[in-house]
Amino acid sequence: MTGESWLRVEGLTAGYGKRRILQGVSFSLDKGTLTGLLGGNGCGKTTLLRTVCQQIPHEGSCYLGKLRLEECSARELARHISYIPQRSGIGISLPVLDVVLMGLNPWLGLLERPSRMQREKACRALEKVGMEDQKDRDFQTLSEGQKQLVLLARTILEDTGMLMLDEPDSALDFPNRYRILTILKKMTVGQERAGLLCLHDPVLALEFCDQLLLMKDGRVQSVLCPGLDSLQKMEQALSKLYGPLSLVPCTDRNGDRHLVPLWERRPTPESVLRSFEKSGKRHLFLTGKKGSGKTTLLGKLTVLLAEKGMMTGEKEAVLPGVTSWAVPGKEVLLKENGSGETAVIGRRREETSRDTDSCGRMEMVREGFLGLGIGAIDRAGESSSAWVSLDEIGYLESGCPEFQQAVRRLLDRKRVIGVLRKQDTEFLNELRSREDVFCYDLDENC
Amino acid sequence: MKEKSVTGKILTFVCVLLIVEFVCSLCLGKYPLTAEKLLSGDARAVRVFWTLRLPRTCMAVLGGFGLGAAGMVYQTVFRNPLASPDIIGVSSGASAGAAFAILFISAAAVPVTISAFAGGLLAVVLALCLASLAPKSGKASVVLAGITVQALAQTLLMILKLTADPEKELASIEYWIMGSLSGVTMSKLPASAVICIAGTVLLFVLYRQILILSVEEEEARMLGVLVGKMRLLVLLLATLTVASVISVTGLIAFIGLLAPHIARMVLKTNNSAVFCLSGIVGGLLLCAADMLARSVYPGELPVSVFTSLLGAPFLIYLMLRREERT
Repeated sequence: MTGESWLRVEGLTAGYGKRRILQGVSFSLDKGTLTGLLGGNGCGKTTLLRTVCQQIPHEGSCYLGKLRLEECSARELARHISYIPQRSGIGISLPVLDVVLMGLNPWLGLLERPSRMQREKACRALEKVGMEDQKDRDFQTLSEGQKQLVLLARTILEDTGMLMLDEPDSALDFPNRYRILTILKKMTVGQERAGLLCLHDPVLALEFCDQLLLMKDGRVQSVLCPGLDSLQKMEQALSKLYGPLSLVPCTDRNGDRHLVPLWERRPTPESVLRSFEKSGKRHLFLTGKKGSGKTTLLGKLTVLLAEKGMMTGEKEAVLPGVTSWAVPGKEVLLKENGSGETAVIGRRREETSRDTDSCGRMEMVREGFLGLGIGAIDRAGESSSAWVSLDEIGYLESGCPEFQQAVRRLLDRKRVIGVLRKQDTEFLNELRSREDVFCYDLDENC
Repeated sequence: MKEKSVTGKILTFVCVLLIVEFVCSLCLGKYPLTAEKLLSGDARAVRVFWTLRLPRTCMAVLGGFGLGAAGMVYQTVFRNPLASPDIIGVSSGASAGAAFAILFISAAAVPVTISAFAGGLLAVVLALCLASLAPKSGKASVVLAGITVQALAQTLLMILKLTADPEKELASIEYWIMGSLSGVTMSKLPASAVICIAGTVLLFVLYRQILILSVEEEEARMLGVLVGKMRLLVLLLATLTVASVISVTGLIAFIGLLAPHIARMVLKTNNSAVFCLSGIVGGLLLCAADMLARSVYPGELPVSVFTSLLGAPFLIYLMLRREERT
């Protein structure tokens, strides 16, 4: 941003009664820009807006150009700042035009009435928001979206240098949200005016705002400029605020580019680890349907455990243990993590019919278990690592008693992180119900 | 929303209606008057006209206008269609003031009028002061303060009634509370009329501000209105208007509640034309009620009986009609 800032807020501290909501907020914004305030419920967005509008007693200062807002009278303030609340506060029947004309109040004398020219200006303002044919209608009979558009027309008539809007998107339907923001953008770009909006929806914020202030617990956590900052920086900042999300650049049918935040539904390794630590158990197993992301999560958890220093003695996050996977339609292989040696532990049965379940399609190859499998488990048990990885234990592994014994021995010697298939076998049930096992079901927690 | 021309026509029509009613009221009564009698110089007719009919009828029209207009202001400022002039205690205060005068000063008209006026004004000032002491002073605190003051005034009134002589004083108090235009004379009219007219004219010119006061406080403040001070001014003006009327006539029920509703039903909006119509309808209602009060029964009945007879069915109608509006 170049030049002197248009709105400058310094050290704003405010609250309601004894509760302090804003903790020393400072920021600035320039003319011709739209700034979005983003944050969860209760982060202080609305309080910040109301404080800058001088509606709440506070410490700190707000400057609009060279004017200090704390020193302005109500009329002066109204001439410089327009405020549109989330929902209109008009409680009686009034014609739409009269509501728009209220915007002239800071400029009219106490006993003055709007002139004909001013009424025409109000009609033109209604035209800009597409509501000119509703000008004689009772304001109370309009829909919420239409009411917001009328208030926007009032703001256009007020012609102030600073627009403050409290969640203009929350009371509106899908197309109206975009309409209002488009109008706001037109009102600010290249004009002697700026806008500060509280927004719920990061999609709209990324689409329309030149600057984003991310708020949490009454503080500005980060400042983003969607046109200038890198995707990674924005993704990180937004994830810190909202939880894990991906920022995905997309192109619409007209070839226009947009940035769309997508909220990640799967559980984060941090949240799983937190639950595991809370349980105080020794071993962590993940379970879930096919495709629920067990192995991916296992990988991330392993890295996280290494980062947290919970795996003493390891240089990399490759734990001793075994990994098994299916070659589709053919066989199941087992690999020893350290050496990389593999063995076949399951082979597709020839006479399988369509309605045989997954347990019946593959038959166990004992040699694979007795050969590599048990040895790999025992070697993992003897390693210096505090943790061992078993990805995964399913019905095939459950069919070999010697392998089961090896796993039991391993569970006594080391801490195990692994994946259990969701099938109903005796061994799997035994593992799931062990007292020292924390079993995290991805299907229940997604 | 009605167009300007339609509004103009309606206002003209009700004005004409009011004039017609005014003339009828001048003629009606225990001693029927006619133009011939007056013009012929009949001494009795002239006396009845100047000392009884004219002041009484003028008071009915002006008083009704004041109550209707003030009622409109209260309902707009408080955004409450059930608000009436008594929402902040003017009626209760006036009653207590009148009772005080009847007991301790004199039952003569002048002391009672002054005391009632003072009582009504004091009650409202007390309510507004109380409201301003509240940490988050807004409309709700004004209403709460009004209820508090009302309760206090009613308590005072009860105590005064208990100490009153049941034969004379108590009867005077009760009769005063029921309201009547029979005691309005040429000497009482000017002061009351001046305050009433001044109050309504000031409210009319401030009406744009009154409409903005009906908006949510923060929004109104951001439109440049000094909400607290303006509300205080507007409520005081409305109270002065009401107090100037009821200090002379006693309490008149329902006009301040009914007239704004009727005006809004006709014009379907809330602008200054509706304010005027509310006043005119108030005048029409009070004049009609007064005519009934002096002609239905050989004696003089309290005017509130008839305003209540008009009011209660209308409220029932409003209640039943509510479903189809917003």
